[in-house]
Amino acid sequence: MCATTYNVYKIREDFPILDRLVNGKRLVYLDNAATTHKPIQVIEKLREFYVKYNANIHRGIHRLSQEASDLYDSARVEVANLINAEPEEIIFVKNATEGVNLFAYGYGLWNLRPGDVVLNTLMDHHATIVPFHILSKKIGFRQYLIEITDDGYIDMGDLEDKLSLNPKIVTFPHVSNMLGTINDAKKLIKLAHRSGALTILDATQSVPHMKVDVKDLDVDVMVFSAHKMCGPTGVGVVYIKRDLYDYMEPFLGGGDMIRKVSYNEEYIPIVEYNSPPIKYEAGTPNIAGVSVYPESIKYLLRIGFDNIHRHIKNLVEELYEGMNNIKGIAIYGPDNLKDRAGLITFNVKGLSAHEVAAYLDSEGIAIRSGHHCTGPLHKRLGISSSARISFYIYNTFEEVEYVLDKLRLLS
Amino acid sequence: MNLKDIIGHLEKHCGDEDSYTIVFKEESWPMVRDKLRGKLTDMKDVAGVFIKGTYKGHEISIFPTGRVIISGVKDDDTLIAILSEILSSPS
Repeated sequence: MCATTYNVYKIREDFPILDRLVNGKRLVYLDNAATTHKPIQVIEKLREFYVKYNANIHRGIHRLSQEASDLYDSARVEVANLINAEPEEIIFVKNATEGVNLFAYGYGLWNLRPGDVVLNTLMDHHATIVPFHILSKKIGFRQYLIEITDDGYIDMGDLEDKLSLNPKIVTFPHVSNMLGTINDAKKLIKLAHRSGALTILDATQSVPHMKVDVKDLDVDVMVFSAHKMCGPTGVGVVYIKRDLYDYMEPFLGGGDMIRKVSYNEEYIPIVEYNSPPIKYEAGTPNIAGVSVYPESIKYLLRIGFDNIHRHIKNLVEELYEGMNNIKGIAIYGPDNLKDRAGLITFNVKGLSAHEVAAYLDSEGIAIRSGHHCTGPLHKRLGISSSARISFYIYNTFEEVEYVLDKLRLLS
Repeated sequence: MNLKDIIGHLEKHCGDEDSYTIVFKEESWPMVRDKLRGKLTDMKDVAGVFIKGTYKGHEISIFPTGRVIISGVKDDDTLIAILSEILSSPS
């Protein structure tokens, strides 16, 4: 058994849900790539918000509104610090998917032209493929997917070929939510920039697990979500490089995103927008969720992202080795574990992924089955669905052994 | 038999064109389980936990937790027809 990097048992005491029983067994939660659980500190903070500070923001002169506004605005600073961005480069939305849509419509709708090219990869989540697909039907630009290699990496040859089409936008995941591949984001962004493309980085599976620095990466747009890093659901983050705001229009219109709405003598409305990032946050946002999000960031920073990354790597290595020794299990993604993040996706010979998931559920183990919103990738791999085990800070080696014992029964 | 009275949750597997999970209500589960078991052919026990077999070309897996997975089913209407047929016929 590998040594862990912090006291995981002490961490588990902060997560009340881990004590509950599922089908009469202690919950073993291994669906963390879908969402993570929340420590008591975050849960209490959410309660505290509603007990002490609940008010709408940026529109009230009263004390509660000012305090709620301060909490919301200070969250922007905390999130910016986390990824080494400027606070005005952070836009809060409801999830990472909305973040991609915000840029697709806020930028793409106004700047992409018929005949332009947008590239995604075969390992992209539907959240980065579908918004541009919808937009391509309206505008008439071309959209292509970049091939992957058989061992689960972006095919650099195909990337180079497709970059020769001079794409306007290239999207890719920092970490594949299906293969677990950790992509060399800095290198890919540099290559895309060389061909004149803007880059959108899907960082939903990387920001919760490792230090991510937008300035070092030089990425143009990056999306991630709070709920995959012990934060509340309903909070997504879009980082947009400040200069790009000059080329964007609002995605959603309404309250707060305007400076002034009036009308002229012909009764035609006149609208003056607020400055970014508020320009892109129309209506009442998830005030409680955003205000509480820094508590989850602080929680993770106290453990340390290097420690988190190492702990989860150790769990993956243990599981990977064990699963490799079970006959009839096919594992997808890189064999080189240094390139693999905290998840393992697989199938068991003779069983559907849903049967595997339902079987494990009957033993108290929660995993994901399906296509994980990566339909093109599943087609490329020649499968319709797969089972996925994904770890986070509170998972233990005992849980790895437990799930391996159960999987052995299936072989 | 009204299926609404015995089905707690019905879900088409996201992305899979022909696969469903059905979770039956606790009080009806023993009856449903026995009916389903009685209709399966090529039945096998998997890991001592669930039973897998075939009914008219559809693979059916019966789990101990009130859950059933049926494959080869295109839509809700077809699924309801198959379940009605199995559950309304004698064991």
